[in-house]
Amino acid sequence: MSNPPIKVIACLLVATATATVAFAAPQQVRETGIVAADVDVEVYNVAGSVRISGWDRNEVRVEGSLGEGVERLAFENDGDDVEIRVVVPRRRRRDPARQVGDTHLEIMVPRGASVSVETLAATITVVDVDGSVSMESSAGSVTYRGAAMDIEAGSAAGDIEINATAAGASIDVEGVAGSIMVQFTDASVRASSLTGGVRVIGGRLREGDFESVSGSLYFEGEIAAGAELDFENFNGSIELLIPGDTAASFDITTYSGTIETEFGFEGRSVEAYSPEQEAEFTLGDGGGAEVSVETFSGTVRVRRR
Amino acid sequence: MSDAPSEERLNDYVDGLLSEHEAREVEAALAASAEARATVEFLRSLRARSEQLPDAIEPGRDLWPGIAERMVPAPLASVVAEPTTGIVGDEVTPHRTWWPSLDGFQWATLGAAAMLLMVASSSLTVWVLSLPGNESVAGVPTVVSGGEGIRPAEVSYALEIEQLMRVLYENRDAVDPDTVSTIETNLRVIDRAIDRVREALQEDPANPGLVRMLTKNYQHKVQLLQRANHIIELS
Repeated sequence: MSNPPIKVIACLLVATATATVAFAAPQQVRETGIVAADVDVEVYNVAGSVRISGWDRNEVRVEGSLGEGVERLAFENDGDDVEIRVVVPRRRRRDPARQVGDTHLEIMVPRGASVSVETLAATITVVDVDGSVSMESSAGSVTYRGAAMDIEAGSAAGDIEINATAAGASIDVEGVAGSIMVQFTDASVRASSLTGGVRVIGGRLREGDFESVSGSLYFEGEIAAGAELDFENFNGSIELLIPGDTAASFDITTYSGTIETEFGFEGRSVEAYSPEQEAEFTLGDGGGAEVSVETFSGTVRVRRR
Repeated sequence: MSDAPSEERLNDYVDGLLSEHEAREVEAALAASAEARATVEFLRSLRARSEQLPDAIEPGRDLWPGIAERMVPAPLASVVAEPTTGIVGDEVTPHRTWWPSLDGFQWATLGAAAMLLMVASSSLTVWVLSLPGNESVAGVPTVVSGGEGIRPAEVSYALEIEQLMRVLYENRDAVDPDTVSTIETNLRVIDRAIDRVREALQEDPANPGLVRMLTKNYQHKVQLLQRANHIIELS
């Protein structure tokens, strides 16, 4: 039997390679729809990334690539509500983040849209979306930058970074093990983590509620007149860096840590033989603002900016 | 009184904290509500069991940490926990294994044992906090119970935690192991914080800040488990 011609073998190899590459290449997706300027957009992804950007068109556009094992991208639009969902086959739903490849979605929405994003391991980035924004990931990082008035963000294992520029914004951030960074201009902020550190830097803080178990809490900014700020953790440090002309009343307690201030007030023992220390003092005329700081064994520092 | 009394109200009734007039109102409501009667019966049995618990059980040597490490599902291990050593920075180490490979009966047995431990643990705390010298603690308002004592709040948390953990065990395979590890590590941190605050409360039982901190840590635990269960729903 004679050998097959070299050209035939070469053609077969090229055809096989082409087919393999085509089969392995991620499936590209593109969807568009005309929507209201204040459309509600819901997005769900498993692994990979979701990036949502605001633009000056009344249109939603999705572009991206589906990960291996993903069934399809569902895109539903009735003009007022848009749902974008990465659909995973039912057989892959046990720990799907480990069983499907990364899906990357780039989504454009009207600047005034409200968006809600949930992912398992996919990172979330939202920029220049000024309606309400809700972002939740199990293991991915979460990032927001823009002028939304209501911002909610959460992640169990990922870091969270918020940069809110709107005056009067309400920011609610909840982490577990990742770090939290919130930068704001003029806002009310609630930020909690269990073991991750929380850093909040402004700007004028209207209301503040900061909690952690073993993570550190750091606040740098102005305290608005009439503000109520609460800082509480178990054993991380708590540090406030505030202007020298701050007007506020402070009530600080640590059960076995220490209290240090750069305003001439130090912690004093609550009673003999007890490690508990407290410091109560008022800066300026108080301004109607109240700051409560409580930690079990952490160190509290109130520093002058 | 036409409306069924709340669980907190029934707790107070069982604990004998209501005035005569209030108690009569609850009894009138009990006559009309089988569900309320069942709740009272449960609370009384819980109280009776907690009163039978000793102050402490001292084994010849501490076998439990080793047993727990090998047998108890990871998040549960954080509840039954090791002896308190405190939390300092990164001292908390992740568990060596995720979910042991157990059959249904073993899971059920461990689950039942775990629930018993949790109830017993909470009951013991209830009992300790209800000792004559500790009324001041019991009467301190807590964040979540709107002026009610720590005792019903702690029992309530124990029951809620039990339910949430059960859902977590039953669906553990749906969650990414790294996320399970994160949840487990954080549960252990919270449990150690709870232990430390409880120790401090033994030294200073009238300290409202410590009671509030204890409540807050229970809240953290419930919220973490709710988040874990939400992840399961997403999966």
